[in-house]
Amino acid sequence: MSYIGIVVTSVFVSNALLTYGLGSVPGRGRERPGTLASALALTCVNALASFFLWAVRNLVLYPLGLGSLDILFFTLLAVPLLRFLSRAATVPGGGLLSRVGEQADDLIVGSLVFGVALIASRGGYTLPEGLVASSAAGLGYWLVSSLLESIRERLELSDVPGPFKGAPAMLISVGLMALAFSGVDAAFVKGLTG
Amino acid sequence: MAADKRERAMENLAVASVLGFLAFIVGALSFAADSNSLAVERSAFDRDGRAVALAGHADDPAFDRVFRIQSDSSLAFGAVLTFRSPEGSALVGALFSPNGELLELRLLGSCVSRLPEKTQDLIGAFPGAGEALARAADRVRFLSRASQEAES
Amino acid sequence: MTEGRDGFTPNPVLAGLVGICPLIAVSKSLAEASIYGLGAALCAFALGALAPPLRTVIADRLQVPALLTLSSALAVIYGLCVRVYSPAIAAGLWIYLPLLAVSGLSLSTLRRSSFPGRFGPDGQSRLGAVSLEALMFLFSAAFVGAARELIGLGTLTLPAPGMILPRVVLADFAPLRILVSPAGGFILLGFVIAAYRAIARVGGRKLP
Repeated sequence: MSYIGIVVTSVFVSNALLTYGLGSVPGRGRERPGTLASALALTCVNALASFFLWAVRNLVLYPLGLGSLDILFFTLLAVPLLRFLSRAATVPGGGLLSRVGEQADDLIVGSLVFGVALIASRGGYTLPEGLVASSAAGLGYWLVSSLLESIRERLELSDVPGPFKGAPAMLISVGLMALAFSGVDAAFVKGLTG
Repeated sequence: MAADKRERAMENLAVASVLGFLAFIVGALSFAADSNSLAVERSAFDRDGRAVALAGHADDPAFDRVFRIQSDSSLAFGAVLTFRSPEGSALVGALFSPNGELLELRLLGSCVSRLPEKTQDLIGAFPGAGEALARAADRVRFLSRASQEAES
Repeated sequence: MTEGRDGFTPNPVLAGLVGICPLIAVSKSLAEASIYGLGAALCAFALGALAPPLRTVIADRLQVPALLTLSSALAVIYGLCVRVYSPAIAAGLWIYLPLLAVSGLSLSTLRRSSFPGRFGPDGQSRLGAVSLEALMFLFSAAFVGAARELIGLGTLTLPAPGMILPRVVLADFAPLRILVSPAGGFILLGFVIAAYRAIARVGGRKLP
């Protein structure tokens, strides 16, 4: 598949939240989902994590017949390194880089980063394809969480029945959005983009 | 200060040793699980007195190994493919000729019900299943060429 | 999740929303959901038992990476066991078995273990609280998986060993196939959580 096809597939067809259920329903992080800092953090952390896991799995562990230990070595080696990088980026005084670092620190130990890295390393991608796919997955998650944040604000102002207030209404909204995204056909995307 | 540094270094070493031992145990279990998977996949092709041997490993999302299946009259290659979709998955035994032509497809196990009964429809039920077969066929062609070169 | 004064512990999935998103992806069938739920429960229980004594031995700065690595090791070991038990279920669960390392239940257990002492402020054993949550997670996962498969496909796939999973067919057709897709899973879980809240409210419980 072409790189454009990989991007479109990762954002719409195989969306990290709506298809794979990675990450969490928005509203839990320090930063609001729809900002540039969160988009950059999601893209960079996912790309770096996928790079580490792809390299560890395909260059070291799989040739030794130890492919199933990838997540163990990822946790041991890559997570402290990513944490170090995110904290190095968090300089006092604010700024975009600092906000990206704070957001990245929240993301590192979570199902989104781990899951996207696993998909990039086990999904049959080459290293450049894996980097593109994981970055696009981060962008796809950012897109969905931005839309869901807007929906959440509208729901808070709406007259929702008691038991449905909060998480149940959000989950139903996520489901309807997943239904809309599932209308993008993988074969159609491949035919269009090559 | 030097004593603090030494103490920290010893702590780091101790934790690293324990985690290394843990990784060793997990690695040993991983080898045991892999040999079990190998036996299970081999048994999927081991019918009618055919000789089944491991032809090679493949780092592919759909299959891990390719087997060389020698019967009295012919040579074939087999792979246990995993077809996945957001609605479920299926394990399928695929038999290929040495030039990668698909000979037989058999459902071995599944985690989604209401599967079509015809093989071609089974492939159609899983998006991307055609790509998995194409990759398996490529792998088979590569391995059969390698084994023929080794024999000559 | 904390226990209330009247002994009611809210369900970690339906009230605390712990680990709901990966749960939706794996609960396409009873077999997958129950094996995933069992894995999350066992990993959380093992972490709840091992993490507090380890925290007294390991230096503060090394605790987080060490415990996270322990969580990953437990997830990998469980994944290998599932692969031996049932290759079909292991194939279906794919990346979600290694993802047990960072499941919501495991991470909340690790956070809870950072508090000193074997007992919480309400006098309940911390390991007991973890065990109860783990069991509730398992039952919630199995319930959601069974509901989705039953209403979605009219069948129930049992988590038996081997390649061929026994299947109970209860309907000749798929009543509401959309429920086995991720979209249907999100929608069904929304309704299940709403129903749980309504029932809890009728019983006089206040949920977060």
